[in-house]
Amino acid sequence: MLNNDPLANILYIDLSKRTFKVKKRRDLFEKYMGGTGVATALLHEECPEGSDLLGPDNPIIFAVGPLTALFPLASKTVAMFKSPLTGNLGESHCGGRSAVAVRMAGYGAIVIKGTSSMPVYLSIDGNQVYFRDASSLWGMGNFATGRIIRENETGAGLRTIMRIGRAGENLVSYACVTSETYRHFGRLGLGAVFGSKKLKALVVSGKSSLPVSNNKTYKKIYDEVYKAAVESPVMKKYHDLGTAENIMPLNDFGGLPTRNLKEARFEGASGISGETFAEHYLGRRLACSHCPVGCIHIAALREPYEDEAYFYKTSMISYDYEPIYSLGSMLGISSATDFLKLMDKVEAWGMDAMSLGVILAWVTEAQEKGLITEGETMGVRLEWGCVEEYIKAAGYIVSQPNDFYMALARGVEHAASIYGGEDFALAFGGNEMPGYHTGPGAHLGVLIGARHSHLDNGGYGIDQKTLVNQKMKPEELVDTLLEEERWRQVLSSLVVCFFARGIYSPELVARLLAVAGFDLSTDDLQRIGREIHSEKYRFKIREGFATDSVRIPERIFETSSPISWLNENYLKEALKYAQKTISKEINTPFL
Amino acid sequence: MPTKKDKRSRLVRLAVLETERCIGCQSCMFACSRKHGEAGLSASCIGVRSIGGMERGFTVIVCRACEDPPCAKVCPTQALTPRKGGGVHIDTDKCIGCGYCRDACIIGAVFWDDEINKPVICVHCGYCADFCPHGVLGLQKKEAKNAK
Ligand code: SF4
Ligand code: SF4
Ligand code: SF4
Ligand code: SF4
Repeated sequence: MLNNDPLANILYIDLSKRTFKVKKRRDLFEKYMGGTGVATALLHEECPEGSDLLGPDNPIIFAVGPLTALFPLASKTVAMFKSPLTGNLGESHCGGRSAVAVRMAGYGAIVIKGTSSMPVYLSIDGNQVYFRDASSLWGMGNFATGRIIRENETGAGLRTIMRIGRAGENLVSYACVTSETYRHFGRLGLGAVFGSKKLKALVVSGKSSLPVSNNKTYKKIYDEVYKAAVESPVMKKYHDLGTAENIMPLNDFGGLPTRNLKEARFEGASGISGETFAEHYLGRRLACSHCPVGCIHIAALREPYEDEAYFYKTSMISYDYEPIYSLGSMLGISSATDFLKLMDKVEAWGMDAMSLGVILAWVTEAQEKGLITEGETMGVRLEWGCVEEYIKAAGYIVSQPNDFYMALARGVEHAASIYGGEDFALAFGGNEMPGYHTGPGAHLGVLIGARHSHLDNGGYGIDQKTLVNQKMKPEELVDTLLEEERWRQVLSSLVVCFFARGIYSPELVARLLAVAGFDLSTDDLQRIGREIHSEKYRFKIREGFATDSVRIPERIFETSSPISWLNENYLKEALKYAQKTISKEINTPFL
Repeated sequence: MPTKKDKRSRLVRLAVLETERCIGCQSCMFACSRKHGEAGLSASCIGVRSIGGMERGFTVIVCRACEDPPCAKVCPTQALTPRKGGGVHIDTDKCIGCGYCRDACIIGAVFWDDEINKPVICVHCGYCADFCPHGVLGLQKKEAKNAK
């Protein structure tokens, strides 16, 4: 890396002592480049074995990469922490203005430890860190918190405002952290870690310049990447309909989880399709900083007030494929308006829409089957499609008035371990399932993925492109998934948006890195990807994870997927092989 | 000696054609920095920020090429001089970093490069417009009679 690149600076903040310091860590960035790689190394350094998930020792680590603010689409911030949801490695990615702001403030990573005795928010402006009293913000939602901080702080247009809503304050295990109102560190409960530290928000801003190895080459390669980002057909779907475009194809394919995956086709899909949203609701399109693609789609929902004629409330609500699946088809909601009403609340409270939807779907079925009564739900009667009742139940999960809602606030796996119905509690490795019942690739991908996310290795893509046409041995599928996951460690260490994975080829990445002063061949990149993947698994094993003993919910075999040969034996065999392979690779036995 | 093209190009200005189409990607800001030979944002003289939250859209702040530039009038060292076609030229060697120009430009188009403690102001070259994915920015001809 270049000598004067501020990327090497790591800002360490201690909330208990209210102190901060900056350390130069070229060692970490030279070894792992940035993002996921550096954050994983920092997690090993900063998170003591077996530390309390909601205690002062659980670190919040943010990292960006060498290409951030240099090239388009290197626009994500990686967060690492121990997940309050799974009790193991927590990793979540968020765009918005976050990555560019952290880089422009002059840092490659930020580490936050300790616990504040009262609500605070942190304001980081270049080399200044301010601890601000957030008592008056405590209890406020995502939208209001953003509005107030926006007016209270400088740096408009050059800053990120990461914040939590009431779900994070109340330690809901899948609370998210929201940045720029519509982007999230969505998965695995970073919001609860914020809440446990009494950290309401984090503002980062800055506007510096960065070194490059050769200005001429820089401009030339930039033009190439920019052109690919705006013209390449692989990016088209993201800016046109956005990720919601996938609803209809997945439904046609028979892989859209519906009503707690009792079915994989939703008769009401067209009511919540990308086309329907675009035609009737789309109000604005937005982009993360330094991304000319702009996949963020915001719906305008106009609702009349009941007590006064010709008086309306207009809300701007973001939508994407995953929340539409989890709060739509999964709950049998076929009206876009209903989906948006629910989504709006979930955004204000600050919860991972994916986890919440899966949990509510489980409650609905458990209530259907009589495992749960209205005594437990406090009179809420969940039925497929009944949006008002879903809003009530979600509200109770945030406030947790009884044991039942307290259990729901800890995830579906936990709730089912108490109330039964594990066969249809759709979580993998403790994380609620994503919106793909496409076949073995999707499910196995999430099971062996280091953060149990569909984006770890894109297994759903293998189902749709390869497995529909040909069978694969479990070993071969595992190898394919692991190879993809290793490469994605490179992309997420450079914090490249995964939507741009089609244009960020190994060859291009190596050339871009040369501009940032990293002399790495494509072989080096593959090696670094492997190492990072291994480091993640070392952490997981240390914290007690074993691939071959993860729970597989029966439901995924009961409801047929487009790949008809998906069965339990196949997955079990694959898991055993995965465990052996990983164990050999990292030279560590699973416990 | 300026060619015919140069003369003409002096009479164009960068215009914000359709703010509502802006998606806030800030590609223009990074482009302007590159144009000034820098990576990052410190040398950028165009700014994009939301109008109080992204849900309401964005405002693009850039020099609008005043015919009689207030920023130049308050410059104590004549580092800023009116440009043909509107706006100003800046001679950084003469600039003492007093910041009067920044106060004089009420639309906020005098950007500040903190690293050199001097202003950066748009020269209406049009480089950024080529990196706007939605045609928000474009070069416009200034009426000849308006040129100074
Ligand atoms: S494609 Fe979408 S998510 Fe990715 S950087 Fe661009 S706007 Fe952000
Ligand atoms: S910088 Fe401001 S005052 Fe000066 S010419 Fe441009 S718009 Fe006018
Ligand atoms: S026209 Fe040129 S100087 Fe002005 S903002 Fe665009 S790139 Fe910068
Ligand atoms: S490049 Fe265009 S769309 Fe992007 S921020 Fe600038 S003006 Fe807006």
